[in-house]
Amino acid sequence: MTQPLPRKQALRNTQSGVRSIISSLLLAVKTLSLYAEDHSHCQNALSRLHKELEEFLNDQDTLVLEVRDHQILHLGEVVHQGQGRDGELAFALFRDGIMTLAFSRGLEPEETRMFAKILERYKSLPTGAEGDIVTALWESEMTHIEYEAVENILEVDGPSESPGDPQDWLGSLSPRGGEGLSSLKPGEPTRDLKQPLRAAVQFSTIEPALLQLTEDEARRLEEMVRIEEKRDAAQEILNMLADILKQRQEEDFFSYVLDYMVDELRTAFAAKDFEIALKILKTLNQIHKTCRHAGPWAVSKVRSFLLRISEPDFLEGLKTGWSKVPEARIADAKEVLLFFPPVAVLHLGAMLPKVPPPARAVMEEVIVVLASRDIGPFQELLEASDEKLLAILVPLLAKMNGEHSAGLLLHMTRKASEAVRKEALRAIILRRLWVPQALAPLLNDESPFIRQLTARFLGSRKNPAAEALLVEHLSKTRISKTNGEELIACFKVLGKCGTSESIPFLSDTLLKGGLISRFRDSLRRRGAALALLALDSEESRAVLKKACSSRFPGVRNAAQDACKP
Amino acid sequence: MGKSLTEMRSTWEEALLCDLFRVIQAIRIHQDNNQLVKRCLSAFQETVARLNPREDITVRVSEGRLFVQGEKIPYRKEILRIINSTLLLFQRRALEGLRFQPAAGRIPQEDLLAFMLLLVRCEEKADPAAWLTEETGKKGFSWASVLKGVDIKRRSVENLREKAKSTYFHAMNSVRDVAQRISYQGYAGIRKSKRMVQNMLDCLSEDEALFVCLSTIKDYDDYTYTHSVNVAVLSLCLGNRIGLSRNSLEHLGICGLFHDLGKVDVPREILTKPGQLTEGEWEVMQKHPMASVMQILKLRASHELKSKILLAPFEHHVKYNLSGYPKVELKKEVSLFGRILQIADVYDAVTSSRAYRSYALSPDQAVRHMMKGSGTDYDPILLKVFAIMMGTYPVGSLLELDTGEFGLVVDYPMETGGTSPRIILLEQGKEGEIIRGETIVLAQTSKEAGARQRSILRSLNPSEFGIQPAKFILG
Repeated sequence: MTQPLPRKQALRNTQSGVRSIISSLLLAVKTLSLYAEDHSHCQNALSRLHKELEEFLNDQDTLVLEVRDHQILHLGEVVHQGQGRDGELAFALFRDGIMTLAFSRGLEPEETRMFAKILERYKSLPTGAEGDIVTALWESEMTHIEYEAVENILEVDGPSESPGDPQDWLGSLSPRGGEGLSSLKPGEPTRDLKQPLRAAVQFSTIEPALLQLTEDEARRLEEMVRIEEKRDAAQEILNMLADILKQRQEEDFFSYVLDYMVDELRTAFAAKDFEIALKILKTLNQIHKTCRHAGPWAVSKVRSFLLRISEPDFLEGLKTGWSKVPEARIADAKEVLLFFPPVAVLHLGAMLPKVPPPARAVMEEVIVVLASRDIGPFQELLEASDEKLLAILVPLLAKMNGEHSAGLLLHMTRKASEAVRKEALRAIILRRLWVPQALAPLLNDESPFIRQLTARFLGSRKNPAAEALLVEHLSKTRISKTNGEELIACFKVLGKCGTSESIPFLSDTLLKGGLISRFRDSLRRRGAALALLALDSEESRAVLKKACSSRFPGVRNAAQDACKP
Repeated sequence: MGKSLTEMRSTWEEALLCDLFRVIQAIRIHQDNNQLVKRCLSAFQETVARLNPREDITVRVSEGRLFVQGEKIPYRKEILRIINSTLLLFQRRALEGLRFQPAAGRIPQEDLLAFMLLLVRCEEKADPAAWLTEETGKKGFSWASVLKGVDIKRRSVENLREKAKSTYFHAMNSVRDVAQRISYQGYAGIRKSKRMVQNMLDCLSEDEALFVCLSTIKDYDDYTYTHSVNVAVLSLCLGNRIGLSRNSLEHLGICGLFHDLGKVDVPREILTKPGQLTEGEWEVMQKHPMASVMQILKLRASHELKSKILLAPFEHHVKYNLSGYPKVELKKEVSLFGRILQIADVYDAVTSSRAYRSYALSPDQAVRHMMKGSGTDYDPILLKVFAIMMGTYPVGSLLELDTGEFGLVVDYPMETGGTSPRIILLEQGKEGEIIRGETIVLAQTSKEAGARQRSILRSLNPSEFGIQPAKFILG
């Protein structure tokens, strides 16, 4: 049989248990401030804290901690000493006026977690903070963690000048002049009550039936409360602000309203609630219309508002959370974002690689529209973008109109990145930008794909400029073992876009020859024959006919091969 | 929150708890013969009968948790309010729990109602558990018994009074502080006010009658701040009566405290001007709800909180039929908080003496006056609940009795069925001052041998005679 511990020893054990709990609490709070709550470090720290608390409470029933001057006491003994510095546990508890904290048996792990979270959140209190440890504990409604706090607290931003003595303030208030009871003689009518209240006195008694809720009224009351509890008053508040601004067109008020709307919009974006976001922006539009005649400040403030909501910290909310948004709502986002100024393109564009496809499609559409209003920010974005982002942005230029965007596309064809050049060329082709001169360098691009695509595009219509470019290109290009087929393709393109202007060149290329056929000459002859065939004019057919009967086998074979069905 | 009780329950234990909670709520608000009360009693009995238990059903508190039939009721967000209210119900009566025999599902409904009324009323007894046991025994209610509590401390009435007074004082100062800070530095924190509202809600949950009494505090010289706290007090009581959640009540209380914050923009000469305001002055005055919105926007509070407390201060002068001020073109109806605030605001205003009128209505006159605007100026259902809550002669009413005595209504003790007021008699001191006399329950005096029979002659406005009811009632 074990002997009961001597009293002093038992107390020492208890106090050491409390100290250990406080250490675990400090560790849990610290860990929560460093890691996400679901991180294993936090989970472990919280489990350990709860286990220690549970063991202590199973043994002792309650744990009552007193807070005094940056110290935490248990049974009158200091179990934790702070330095009185902001961010410390004891300081935070003392600052918020907590006198005692009591934990009781039955404590749930959820309560331990909530308690640690509250301490982590409020250990430092910024000026003008909305709540503190006490308000958070109150709101959390924990059954096994109780607190006692002082009623009055000092504001973080300095003491107030509230008058009055808490002991004798009631006596100092005057309900009126204080005429005393003697001023009223029993039975004497009261002083003359004036209209309209006089009528009320004559409304003698209330029918008892009037003071009973009917079943229907009770049901409606219950419904009222139910609706209130889940109500989102955003639209009503917006209407209210619009109503107020119709009546009070004051610069100061306007600023506060816009500040509120920025926050409302931020919340809506974070929740991906584009319906309410749209309402906010429509209200802004309405407010703008109402107030723009009130003074130049109105227009300038709306402009500032739009610039503010175009900042990266604001648009950041659009980066994540799309997976939970139904596709139908994603489409709503477009209408919202179209309210933004073109400068928003800078940040919307930058987040494209991180946004999932359905949302990205919407954002791309928006960027095209916004850039069409002012291409400047889009150009700025292109200049600052890396290869990966450019490959996403350049195709958007295909959907834009105007010379400026065309110029940007051509500029993109000169970028070092092959992918970017490819996208730019594709965009040019999609837009059917007919700028053969500007595309000419692409005929010599290091990428075979780009060269071929350029040649095909240039050959897509009869055009002297393209023809001249191709002739020049074909005359200068040296034939190697690798570019043979490409050259043949180029000749065919020339045949498609060429005119009689290129016949002398093709004729020369085909007919000039000797008895000994060299590889490069035979390839050129083959190409020229194919080009002449594609030209399909009387003149070209005459050249081919002549070649078919040439005394040089190389020339003859090239022409005959080309003419074979 | 936001779900009906039927949707909230997930097990039969929770169902029973919800039904018990509903019965208690219903009999607190409605008359005994009200249909809702009957429905709630039926629902409770149906749940018991449906269970068809072979043994007694117990609802018990242990280690701060609720157990029904030995099963711990888990904390689920949906029923948190019900759990906490039931815990409080037991705690305030020092009861460990209740035991119902299976027969409770079959007994006459009036017996069940009588037991539930006893359960509600026993709170005022020195030893509620003993009293309840005795009363149920007297009535022969063998199907219900009381599990006596152990080691449950009840806060003394004195402590409650002190706490209530102190909370009022600090709440008033917090509003003053916010108003001054906004005025001088252009912004203000909200932490202190939030804490005061939480303290107010604690007071309300501990003793509603005592809490309502705070609304009788009047200050002629510095009306705005006492008025703000009074509106918060009355709004919280009404909100609590209709079953708003704790979170919503917190927001409603803040709305009450800040609803007149816009008056910092109104020149003091206008606020305290005796007699009628000129058209221009009236126009300035009418702007104060809009100014309140602006001041609330200036508060250093989260967007989430602001969005909960902006609307009602704007609406507190908009009538139920959308007349009143400010003009509201885009509004289709006044919000629930706005409707509550409006009732509380008007009640406190017409019962307070003001510079621009030489009279004020007594509390009961005020309620009757307001009833005339039911359905046009005020939400008829809310106003009805408010009138029920305030009683025939609201707490703080100054009554002239047919004996020539004067008394202040303290509350309506449950032992009289909540129909007869408890009154503090007022006497004239040696130097003409008013002093506190005996406390009587009006209905009981006639039964006492030798006592003079007293009945109410009329009600008067205490402030007309310089009487601060709270000073006498809160001690």
